[in-house]
Amino acid sequence: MTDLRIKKKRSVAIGFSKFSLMLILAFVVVLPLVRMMTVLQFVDFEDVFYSPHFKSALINSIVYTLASTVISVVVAYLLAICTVRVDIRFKRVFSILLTLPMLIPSISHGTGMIVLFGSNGIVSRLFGLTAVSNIYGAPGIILGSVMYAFPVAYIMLADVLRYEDMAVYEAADILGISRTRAFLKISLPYMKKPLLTAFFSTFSMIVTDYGVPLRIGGQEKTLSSLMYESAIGRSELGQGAVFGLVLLIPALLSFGVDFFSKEKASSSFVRSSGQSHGSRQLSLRILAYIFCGLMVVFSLLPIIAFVLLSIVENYPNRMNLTFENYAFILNGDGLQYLMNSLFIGLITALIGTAIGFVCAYLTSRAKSPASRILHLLSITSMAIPGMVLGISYLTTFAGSALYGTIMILVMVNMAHFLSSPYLMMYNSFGKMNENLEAVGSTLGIGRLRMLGRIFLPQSFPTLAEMFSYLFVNSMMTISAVAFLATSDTRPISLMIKELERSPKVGRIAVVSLLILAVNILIKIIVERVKSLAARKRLEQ
Amino acid sequence: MMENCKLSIRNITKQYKNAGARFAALDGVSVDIEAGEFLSVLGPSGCGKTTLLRIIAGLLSPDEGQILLDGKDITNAPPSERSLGIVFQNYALFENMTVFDNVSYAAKLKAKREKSATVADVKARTAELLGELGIADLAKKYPSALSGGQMQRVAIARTLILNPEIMLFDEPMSALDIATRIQLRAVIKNIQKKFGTTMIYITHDQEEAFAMSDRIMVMEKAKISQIDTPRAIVSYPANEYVKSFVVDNLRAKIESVSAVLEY
Ligand SMILES: Nc1ncnc2c1ncn2[C@@H]1O[C@H](COP(=O)(O)OP(=O)(O)OP(=O)(O)O)[C@@H](O)[C@H]1O
Ligand SMILES: [Mg+2]
Repeated sequence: MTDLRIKKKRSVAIGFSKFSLMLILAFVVVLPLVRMMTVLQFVDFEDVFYSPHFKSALINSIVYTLASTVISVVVAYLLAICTVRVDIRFKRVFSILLTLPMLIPSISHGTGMIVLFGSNGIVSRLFGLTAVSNIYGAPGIILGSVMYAFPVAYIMLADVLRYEDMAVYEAADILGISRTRAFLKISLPYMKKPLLTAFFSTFSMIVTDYGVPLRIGGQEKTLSSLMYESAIGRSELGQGAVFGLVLLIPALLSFGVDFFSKEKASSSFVRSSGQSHGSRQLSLRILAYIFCGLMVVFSLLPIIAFVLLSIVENYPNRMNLTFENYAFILNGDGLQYLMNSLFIGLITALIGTAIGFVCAYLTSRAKSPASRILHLLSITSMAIPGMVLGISYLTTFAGSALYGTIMILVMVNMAHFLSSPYLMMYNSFGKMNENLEAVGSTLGIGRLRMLGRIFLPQSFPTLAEMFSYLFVNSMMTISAVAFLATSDTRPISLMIKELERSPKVGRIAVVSLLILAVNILIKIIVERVKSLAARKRLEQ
Repeated sequence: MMENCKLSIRNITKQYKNAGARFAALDGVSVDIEAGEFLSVLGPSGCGKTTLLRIIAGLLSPDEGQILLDGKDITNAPPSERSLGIVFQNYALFENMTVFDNVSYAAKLKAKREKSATVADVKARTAELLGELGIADLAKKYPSALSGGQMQRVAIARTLILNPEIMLFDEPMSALDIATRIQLRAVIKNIQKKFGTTMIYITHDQEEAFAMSDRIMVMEKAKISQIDTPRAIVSYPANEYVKSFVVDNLRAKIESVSAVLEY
């Protein structure tokens, strides 16, 4: 009967791992949320909901977010079609340049819009529009939001398009169905769900962001900027929590849509076998070049502006070349903040990747009823906006030993960003051969050994991807950490908020560029490591 | 029980739940398999072939029934202690290891664990096996660079290295082209002859079953319809189902082929 005992021991170990991970996730995600809810009982809801502020902020939030979302998704979809379905050159270059704005914090994009299109903005001056240009309010909020949101939607949609089965189009071609009809009758219906998912996740990303509206909203308040002002500006946590609760609604909705559309989409479509180069029609190609070109210019404008601003003394009055801005940031607190960010990013990425890997392994390759619960816990954090998480952590941990440490920032980032890398790994495990465990156990290779020698090495590209996602997001985030950082632990992204008080925009430009540079560096390293690993296998 | 019985499967039952209702994937399946025998399992999709194979391998436990290996009850023994190897349709190779490492890995672990052989022994044995399967020149390649037929040879070598007494195949050739299938048939039959390995071979291809088997087991919906030699199945099909599923199918194939060959 020793055999049965071994089997039992093994399943006990797996059960124990699942249980511990559930506890950890409950501690970092669920507990703070519950704690926040208890704060709400002291708040006069009527007071908040019936205030004139609230009503106009609610309307602003809905209208501006809707506008930004529609623009972002449409632009993203068109770009995805151009770079996946039309035979143009430099596809990779285009995709890289188009996604650069994603690597800068949203809060920088507010400043970016001001220095470009404000009354003294670079573009405004170039076209002599300084008198009519008023970027504050609606135009700034919408433009700035589109700026950082469209690349995210673009990546999602391009990915889906790339995996669509092209055989359908070939069949349509043979049957003499026109391209326009094929697009309307095949592509659009196929894209309905992905477009919906992109729409909802973009919406919830924009509506919960305070970086842009706070900076450039002027008199126009949105729910997120009101939430920031009440919770951080005036320390009225209860009121902030109420706003947070309202912001939770679109996030939950988006989560639900994503959850249900994914469940179905994955099964009904297969990956295309042949790689198609896309339409070669000349007019389409020219249009694609023009559109991609324009959007690349739009994406690069803030970065170019930042570079320019960072190396002059004080735009637009003193345009002499100087590195004074860099010196100010790196000699002052900036270096400390940068180090904080790097440290937080590194630790979050390491721990997050490890937890994501183990969770995904347990939920996808060691299935049991407990796997379901663990899976749900791992993805719920996606439904919680960063600011809500921040306020939850504040109400839960203020006064505890954790508060004021770097570790609490790592924790909150983990809770905030874990779900995406977890899902990356979960999907990747799902694609690995389902008989590997069976082979391992007949050959007498233990579960742990299989994990370390077979699954781990095969997961390498995904692990690199997860690491980079966690690091880059930790580098850029301002939402949750704004509630929890102290002057000792502040990450560099929050420095932008601090610098907004100074008239020297060049300094904000420097910080934004530093963050961008670090993120690009990480992306390059990850790509290098991935391609090295891939080449090793191909060389033979 | 037959005299030279290697594996005895006794009254195996396995139920699954589907949408709340229980149904039997295997319903009282019994069969004795002789040492060195080649037994094919033939049956429509969903009749329980894979389930039976996984129970034999110890990857699933049956609800009821026993499995005896050389007369010893192994119903609850872990897969690695049943002296068997399993080969799947989709190969399930270790993508991150070279062909050589794929084949030698398990043997190396075993040698270390039991202090039964040196690393040099394992390496020599691996090289020998690769040669026997005609894939010696692929030793340093990774699976992603191989054809389906080559991958299946690696998968077979990987199980052979532990000298299994029984080899289980779950539709090993369904993903291969006809020329490769015919080559692999010879490879597998050679192994059976050379090592005296008992083989249980699931296939969807009636012709394949007839070409390779000592006996064929025809299944229908969780039960065995008939177990017999290919000749006996053709001459005396046990019932209408066996006749239409096996014999008529085979006839149709022969007719269509001979029609073409005779112009
Ligand atoms: N884990 C499971 N849970 C529920 N039902 C299952 C499970 N595994 C198999 N089944 C069901 O049991 C029945 C037998 O499955 P099995 O895989 O053994 O069929 P098979 O004969 O190998 O079919 P195929 O020729 O398609 O491979 C099928 O109806 C299948 O849907
Ligand atoms: Mg099967």
